[in-house]
Amino acid sequence: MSLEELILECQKNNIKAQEQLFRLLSPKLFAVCLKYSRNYEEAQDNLQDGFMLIYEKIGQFAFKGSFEGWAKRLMINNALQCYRKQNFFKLVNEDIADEETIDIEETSISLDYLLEIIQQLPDRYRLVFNLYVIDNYAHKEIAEMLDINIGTSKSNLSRARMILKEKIETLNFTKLQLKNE
Amino acid sequence: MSDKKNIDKLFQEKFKDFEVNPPEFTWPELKAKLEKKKKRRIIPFWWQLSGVAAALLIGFFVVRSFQSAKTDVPAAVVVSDPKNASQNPAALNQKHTDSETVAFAAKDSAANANTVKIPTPENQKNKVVNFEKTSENADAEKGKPFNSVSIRNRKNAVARVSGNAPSDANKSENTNGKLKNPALLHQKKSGKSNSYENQNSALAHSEMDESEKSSSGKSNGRSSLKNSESAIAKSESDQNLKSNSRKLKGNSNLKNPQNAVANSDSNAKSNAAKNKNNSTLRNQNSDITLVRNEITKNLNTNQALANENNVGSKTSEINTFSDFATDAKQNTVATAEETPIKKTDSTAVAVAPNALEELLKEKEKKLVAQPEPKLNRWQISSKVAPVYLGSTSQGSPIDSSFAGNSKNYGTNLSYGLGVNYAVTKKLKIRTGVNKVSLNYRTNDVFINAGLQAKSLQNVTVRNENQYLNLSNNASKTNKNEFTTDTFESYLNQKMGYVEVPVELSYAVLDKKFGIDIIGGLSALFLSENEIQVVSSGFTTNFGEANNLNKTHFSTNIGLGLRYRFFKAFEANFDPMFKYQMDTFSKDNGNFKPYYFGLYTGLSFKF
Repeated sequence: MSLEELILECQKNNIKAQEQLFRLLSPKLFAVCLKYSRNYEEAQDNLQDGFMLIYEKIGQFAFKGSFEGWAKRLMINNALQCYRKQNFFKLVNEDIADEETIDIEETSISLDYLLEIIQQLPDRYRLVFNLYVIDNYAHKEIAEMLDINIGTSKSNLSRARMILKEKIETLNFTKLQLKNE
Repeated sequence: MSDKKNIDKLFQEKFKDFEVNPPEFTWPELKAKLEKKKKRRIIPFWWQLSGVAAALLIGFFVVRSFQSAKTDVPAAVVVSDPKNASQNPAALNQKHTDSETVAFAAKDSAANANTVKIPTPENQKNKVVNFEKTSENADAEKGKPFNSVSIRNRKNAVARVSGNAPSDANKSENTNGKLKNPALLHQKKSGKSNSYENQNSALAHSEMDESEKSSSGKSNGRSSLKNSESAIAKSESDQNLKSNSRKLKGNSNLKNPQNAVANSDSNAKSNAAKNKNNSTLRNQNSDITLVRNEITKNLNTNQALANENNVGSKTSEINTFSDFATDAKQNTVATAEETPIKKTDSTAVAVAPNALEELLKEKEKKLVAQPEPKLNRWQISSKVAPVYLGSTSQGSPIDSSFAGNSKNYGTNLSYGLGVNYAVTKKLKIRTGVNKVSLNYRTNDVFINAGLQAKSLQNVTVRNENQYLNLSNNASKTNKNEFTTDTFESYLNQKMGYVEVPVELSYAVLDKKFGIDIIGGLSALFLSENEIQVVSSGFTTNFGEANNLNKTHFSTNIGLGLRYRFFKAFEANFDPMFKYQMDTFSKDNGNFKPYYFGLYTGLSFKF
């Protein structure tokens, strides 16, 4: 069954097609959830809710552009949604920091570790960092999505980078120490 | 090993093809959620209920009217039957009236149908009448929502057929022989026989579809057989109209109640494969299929005996069938001699059904035994309710200048009769007629008499009141030098409606004490429209609102609480909220009325 047929079947609420779609997309979308969530469990919840949303809205998919991209956007929106519910974005806006590039010493850092430190970031930093750096959203879009202003988005990004850099450097430092010993 | 790298790039590269399989249990959990959601959707919102209720109700009436129209058709067909035409015209007329009266008798009381005596000078006529009755019954059967009725009808068919058999047997043997033989010969010999049968079955199929559709969504597997019976009856008459052939008529009469079997008889001989084509009807009932197989077997054994002449073979064939059903497998030529006697009375209608009817009856009894006694579908209830009017927004439909005035909403009475129809044990359609009065007061209105009364936007003022000036501000009216004294008063707007609700109720609790969720629509027809000016000294009928729609609707939601005293009697208490839509034809002044009624009453099930 082609993807298009699969989507059409899903639009008819065919449970088998829904399962097939899940099997097809869940590895990529679970990765998205992991990035945007605080931990593994939350990512699981988000994945389920996100798929529910996809099945619900799949009738609106107009076969324009990539379905995967569409599904991913829904998944991200769903992940953001739970923070919106918590009124999380109504925090006081923060100062604008200069957008800077931060360079780090790259050693062989595992993906798991990177994911871990992303998840450990404060919620909004994590979201902004993910949206901007990994999923290529512009600050303007992020500001709209999170209902914050552009300055806050930039500032959050910068802080997220700083935190990540520190963590990576600490890791590198400990690795180095271990190596020396 | 290490070099300086942009942190963004690091993350981008690392996460570029990042994929993680979710844990295995994710899909089962998600599936459960999806299924739960689907189930939840089955219970509709209250406002959707109205649509369903309306659709069911309309469907019900359409089916009823369609049915009644249909029952008239076969009577006409009998008249146009060329068989009758071949006899003298007087007999034809007589026959027509006879068949009609019988038809109506059958319709009136299906249970008594077998006791209807048909004054038949000749069997042929009797046959016509019998046929007519069968089709009537079949049609009536279709129209009734109860399965039990169909059983009764079916019983009638059998009883009638067998009851007539001995009385007419001797007399009608010859005529039947005459009638039947050509038919059988025709069926057997002519190359057209198959096409006729196919046509017939095709008609039967299309009819069946139609009747299935029209059976108000309450069809079950068994009823399709029942329908097929009626369908055949109908198709038969159609056939008569079209073909004008006596033979076909006789032939189809033979097959009337169990066309499928009759078909299989002839087909089994000529072409075994064709049986399968015709078996759509039969497939729905394994009993019949079984019988058919047996018949085919018997036919083979019988054929040698029957081959002597075509007529003989045919009768023995049918005989085989009936014999098999009654007496297992004792097929001899002797039985073949008996059969014509049996057949004569109702011209083969009797023969085929005898066996099958029994099987069918048994099966149907089993199937219908449970639901039949339980449901009393109809319920009549009385309703009396205090109704409380309200508006979801501040405003005045009388004149925009009164929008800010305080309003007192009156408590009124609504009363009426309700009719409920239980679609299933839990789901009811409710309708009825209620009289509703509503009123509210617009306070702090000042009146005086002046030369130039300022007209109100939405009031048609009565002639005698045209110099009454109404305002919400005492000082303003006093500015006019010709004004008289100003009285503080209030406006009382009365609206009376005849309400016809169409609602669905779903029983959440169905014990001695029951709870229903009710939702639906009401059509409200304006019956009273008056605006009064009430002052300390007097009350006058000021005029009437010209912006009230003659008909408008309300969406209703409520709870039905009931307590069952006896099996058939219930006390009801239904708090209902009715939100009115489109009450005003123009300029509702931001007045959005609703009313709340506490409907109490007694209801009787039957």
